[in-house]
Amino acid sequence: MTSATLTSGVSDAAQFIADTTQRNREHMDKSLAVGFERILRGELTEVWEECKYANWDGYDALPVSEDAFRNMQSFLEALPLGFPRPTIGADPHGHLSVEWYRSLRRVLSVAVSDDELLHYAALLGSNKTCGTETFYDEVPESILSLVRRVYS
Amino acid sequence: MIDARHVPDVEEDELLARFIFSSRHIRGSTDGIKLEAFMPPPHAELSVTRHRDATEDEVWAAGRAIAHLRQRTLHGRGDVIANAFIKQDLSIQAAPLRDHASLPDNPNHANVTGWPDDKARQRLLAIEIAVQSRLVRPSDQ
Repeated sequence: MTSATLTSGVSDAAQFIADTTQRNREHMDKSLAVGFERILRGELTEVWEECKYANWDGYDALPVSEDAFRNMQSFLEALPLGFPRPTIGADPHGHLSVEWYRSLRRVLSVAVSDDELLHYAALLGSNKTCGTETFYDEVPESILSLVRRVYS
Repeated sequence: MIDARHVPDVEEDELLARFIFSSRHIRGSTDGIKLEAFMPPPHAELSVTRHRDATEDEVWAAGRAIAHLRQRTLHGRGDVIANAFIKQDLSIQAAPLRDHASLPDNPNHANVTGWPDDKARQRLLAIEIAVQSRLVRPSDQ
């Protein structure tokens, strides 16, 4: 689908073309979002399947629980449309995590716990930060802002 | 390997190895190591193996022994200088293993201790250590 569209006309035909193009673009965005979500959901399931057992990392890591899986699912679904795609992992506490990585010193990692807490740490060039937020079905603006800073 | 009868303290310029038994700890796009590889389990220390007095084969043998005992795949190791931990106010204690209930003998074993209880702080320390590490893949893979 090309993005070059004639929108400068004022006739009914021109308006029809503009409306159709807009609808098609919205459909494409939705399809990409659905594809994006499907990819992430697949990766999340894979990680959970690997990490739902005790000692999954060889160092006595706690298993990732179903609650942790569901919370991560909710977190991913709450990410804004068009957001950079993170990769999914797990930590020894039995939390699932997401990572946005641009370079060695531009990275954000967020662990989603089974008690709905988000434990995050970020390297942003010469700066670094960490903290804990509560997840109430919306990704906190503080986390979204950090993702933007990773890619700025 | 280190003589188990005379185990020296860990020095800050020593090279340490953190064996990786989960592919999820390796960042595929860059062959880097994710921070979770350097996070300790709850209420425990971070286990590492010292390169000191060990050949490359002996280091790998230590990793493969753990992988075999714990029925895991050895995906690689993260090599990092001891000072990377010390700069984060962590301590490294030589902790040679012998006749351990669930781990193979390893005179080069050490523990990284002093981790904060706060999980976000743990992640930040781990991320700082991870960026200073180097992934080494087993030579037979």
